[in-house]
Amino acid sequence: MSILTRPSPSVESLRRDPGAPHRHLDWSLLGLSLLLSCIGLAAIFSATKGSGPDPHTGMVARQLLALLLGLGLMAGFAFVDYRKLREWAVVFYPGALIMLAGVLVMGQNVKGAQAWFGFGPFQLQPSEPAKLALIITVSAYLSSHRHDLTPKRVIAALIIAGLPMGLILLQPDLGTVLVFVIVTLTLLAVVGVRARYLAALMVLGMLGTVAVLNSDLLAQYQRDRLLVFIERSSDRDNGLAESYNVDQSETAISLGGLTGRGWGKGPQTQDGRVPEQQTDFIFTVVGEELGFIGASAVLALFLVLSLRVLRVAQLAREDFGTLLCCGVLAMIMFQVFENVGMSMRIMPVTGIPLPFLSYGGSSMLTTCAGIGIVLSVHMHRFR
Amino acid sequence: MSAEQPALRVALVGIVVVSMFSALFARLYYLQVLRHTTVEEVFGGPRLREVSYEGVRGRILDRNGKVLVDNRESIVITIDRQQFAELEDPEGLELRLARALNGAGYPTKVSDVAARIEDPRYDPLKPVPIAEDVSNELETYLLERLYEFPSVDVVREQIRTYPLGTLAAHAVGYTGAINSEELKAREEDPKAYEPGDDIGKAGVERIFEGELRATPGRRTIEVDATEREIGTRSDVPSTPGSDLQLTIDADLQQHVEIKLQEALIAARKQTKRRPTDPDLRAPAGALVVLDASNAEVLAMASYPTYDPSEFIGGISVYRFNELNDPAAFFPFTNRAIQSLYSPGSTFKPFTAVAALERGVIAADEVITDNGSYELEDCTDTCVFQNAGGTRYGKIDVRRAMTVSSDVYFYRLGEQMWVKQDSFGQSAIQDTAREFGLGTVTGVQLPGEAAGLISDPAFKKARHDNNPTAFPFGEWFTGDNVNLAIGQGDVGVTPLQLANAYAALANGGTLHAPSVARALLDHDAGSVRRSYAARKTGAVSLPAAVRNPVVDGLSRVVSDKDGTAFGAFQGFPLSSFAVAGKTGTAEVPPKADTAIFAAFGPVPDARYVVVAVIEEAGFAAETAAPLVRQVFEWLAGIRPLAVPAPAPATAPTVGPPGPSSATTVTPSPTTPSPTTPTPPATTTPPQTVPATTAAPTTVATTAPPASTQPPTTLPPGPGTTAPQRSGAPLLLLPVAAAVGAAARRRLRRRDRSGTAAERPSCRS
Repeated sequence: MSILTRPSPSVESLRRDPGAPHRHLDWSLLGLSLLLSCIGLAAIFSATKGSGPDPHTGMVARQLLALLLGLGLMAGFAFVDYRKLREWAVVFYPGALIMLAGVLVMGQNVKGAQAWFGFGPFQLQPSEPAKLALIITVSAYLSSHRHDLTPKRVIAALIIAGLPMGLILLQPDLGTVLVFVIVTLTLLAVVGVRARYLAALMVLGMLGTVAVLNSDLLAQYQRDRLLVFIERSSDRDNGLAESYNVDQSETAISLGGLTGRGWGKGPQTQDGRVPEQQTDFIFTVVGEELGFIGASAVLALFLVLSLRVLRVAQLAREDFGTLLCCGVLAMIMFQVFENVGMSMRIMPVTGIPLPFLSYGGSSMLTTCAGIGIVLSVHMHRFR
Repeated sequence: MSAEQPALRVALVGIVVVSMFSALFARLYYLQVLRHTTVEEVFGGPRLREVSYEGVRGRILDRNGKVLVDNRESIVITIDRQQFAELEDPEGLELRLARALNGAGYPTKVSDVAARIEDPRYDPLKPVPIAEDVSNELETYLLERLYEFPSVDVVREQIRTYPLGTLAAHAVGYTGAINSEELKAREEDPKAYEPGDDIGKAGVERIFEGELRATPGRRTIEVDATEREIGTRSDVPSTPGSDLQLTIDADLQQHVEIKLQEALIAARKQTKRRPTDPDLRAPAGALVVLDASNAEVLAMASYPTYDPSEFIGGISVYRFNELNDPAAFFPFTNRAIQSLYSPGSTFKPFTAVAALERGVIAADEVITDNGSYELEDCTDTCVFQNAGGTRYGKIDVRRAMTVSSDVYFYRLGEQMWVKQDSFGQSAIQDTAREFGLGTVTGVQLPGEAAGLISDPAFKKARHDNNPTAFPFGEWFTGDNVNLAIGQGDVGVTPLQLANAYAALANGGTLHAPSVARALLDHDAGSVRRSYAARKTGAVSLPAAVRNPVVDGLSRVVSDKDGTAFGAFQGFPLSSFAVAGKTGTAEVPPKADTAIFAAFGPVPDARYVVVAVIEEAGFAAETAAPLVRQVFEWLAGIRPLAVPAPAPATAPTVGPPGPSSATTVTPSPTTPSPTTPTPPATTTPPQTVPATTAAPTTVATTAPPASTQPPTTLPPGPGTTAPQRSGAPLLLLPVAAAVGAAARRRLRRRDRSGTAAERPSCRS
């Protein structure tokens, strides 16, 4: 830390300060984010342009707007010292809880989930920013107690995580709750909670899942989605709509082959055979039209992104930064795994968007903000 | 992170991340690289649909090239289902279209339009026809207002047309929309069918379907996910079907049909001998003209007939039922090949051939006909009589034929059975079968009835099968005696009889009669394939056997004692000698069936003519004059006084109305109060309850398909033993006649001689 020992830095040297945050912007993270977002824009365009002579561009334009806002948000979080987030948590966390409670009262019900606030032509899904609030708050709590993690504290952390999860479960939005679960577990694991506690948690989680599945808490469609995955052999006979989604999605990806059908030329995509294609099943556009080469390139970009975030986690100046990075990593990567996995029928169908690619402003803003936090950890690793 | 191993925990997260991605990569590789080909085969490729459209069906010509069946353009109003489904106000369109159709004179209900649109039999990719064969005015009206009729279009299609009207309707047949059974049966047909396509339903339209049908055109179109057409990939035009040239001579056919109708009308005008006799309703008849040398059908008429043009665009259920009403006497039945008749005395030449060939009797051997014949070795009532007990004195085979002596043939029948050790158990039947009687002739027409020549084996099998209905399984001498004169369990079609006479006339060669002569290239006329005569058998007919028989038949018309002498008076027999035989078959309780079978010019006969008239009484008075008129045409004589009031516009369908039947009884449908019952002189070898026997009688060739218009018994009071009717129940009358005939063995079978000589009443 020789930089800190420097005596009075001159104006000249200030400008050249090698430890200045702006000198340590991680261009690779920014570039990866931009690249993935652009692929997403292209895929959304292909899926929504329609078959007429005048392509529909409305959704692409809105997504572009979301991306620009997201980049601004990313910049904001990047240049703010992440350590300030520890203090902001007391604002973010209650704010998230209020929004989540409020959406249950005032929100719009779309496709069976009370998950959206409507502002004129725009919608906000509060569970998305709530993911970041959870990451920040739990990371802050755990990092400040990381040397005396008594069971009581672990339980306290679980309660912090559990409140928003409970509210989201009431919407109900099982997929997002799953993201929260994974993020919380990752944070607990990284902070050093003993393996036996984690194991106990896993067992409890599984029992809880079984209990939830057998209770009335889940809507029938949610149970169907999960059961489609489990009872794959018989689903075709049952004619479940969920099975239809996955059939079409899997077919589209297979049709892509090695090199793909070409952008805007996928038969499944252009005929509109994959439901929810621009949102939850956006990966099928990539798979069908860009083929194995394009789809694996997208996955590779996500892999490089996550390794890069891990690297930042290791480079972090303090534990809080490491936890933040790991939380963001868990959030993004679990969503990628779940979303892409469900498109390829190795994961159950849950309404989780593919970060950067899926159409949806809330998701885009949250992902960008998350990357912004990681950038901040990277930029502020020296001061 | 625990103080001991901070980096390790982060690295563990990395390991988890990498493994998750490995799973995704693996799955992606499986789906896109390993499974790609399989999925591609099923789902890949452009979504192509084949739309086929029918081409021009081949025409049907007569032997001289006259067009019997042609095609013409028809204006069809269609609705495009896809566009219709997107309409905001589909009911409004249906209403407007129905109103336009009604206004143009095509009665249409809104529900008719809706039913067509919803009819699943039409190809979803093709517009649904709503109204066929509409006027030019309606076409113009609609085309000018298509904006008012969205999804409606007016197109032109080829449909059948019949330049000569109903001429040869039974031979030609008709076409109609293919039904699901036919569609299923033709799944593999090279000229693939689609719902709504036309297919031959009867006659040569049906038999030569494969040749007449055009090879359909195929348009391959590309469709999107909603099956909407987005482009054409390929378009293979259709090729027209072959023209079919028939053996039928349209002019002769025309003549024959007119004469048959006139003969029926004349037959109805006869006066009954006794008020208690059955009505002479003469509701139906058939006439066949064959080329004696090769069995080509030169004319084939069946009355009542129908109008094939009624089937264009689909016949209504109402009309179809009307035509199938028993009161209409089954116009769809081609009586020339589908109805079975007792041949009566027209069978005698074959009995004679059987006897002469086997030496049962010599040609010159004379027996004495005292008007009745008593069986030898018979314990019960065993006396068989000539009709009216007429005595013909000393007769040989020629004379027996000429005057139609039953006694002569009773004797032959008895001797052949009594001496079965020498002649076998089925001498008469064997000869009859050699002549093709009792089996299908193989004519190229659908639904031909096989007929029946009963024999001991058949009778036994029938008894074993149903002892209640047929209490006697044994073949009695009386059966053979009956058979010898063509009564009993004998049923033949007019065509069979004509074909048998053709073999007799040409010296013993049996052919499968043909109606098709050649296939011609469409409209070009060059012969693509010609159909040769099909020889199916040869009968041994040495001159010693044939000459006396033919001689006897010639005298039927030329000898003043001949049964048809009166009918042929004035006919130039010196230049065109005709040989023939009358037959008056009993079919109680109805009036007798009149049959005349003839060939000429003798000795090298070129033509065979057989006429059958149901419920017409004496053959000599009805069938024989009709055949004479046909021979006049064949001999090139045009009678001066041609009553030509009823050419092509003659009533085509339906029974002779009561108005035309000016018989003594008020209504032809009213039964005679007392049907003539025979004197109780019988110990019948079989007392067959005719009614119960009927359904179980014989399994004969059923008409091949459901498309064949149902042929059932004509109606009427006392339907116990009707003789006319279609194939399926054909033997009902025969079986019934057996019982009746057996009971009434003393009744004569044939009224011989001219009218003056005829007895004035029965027995």
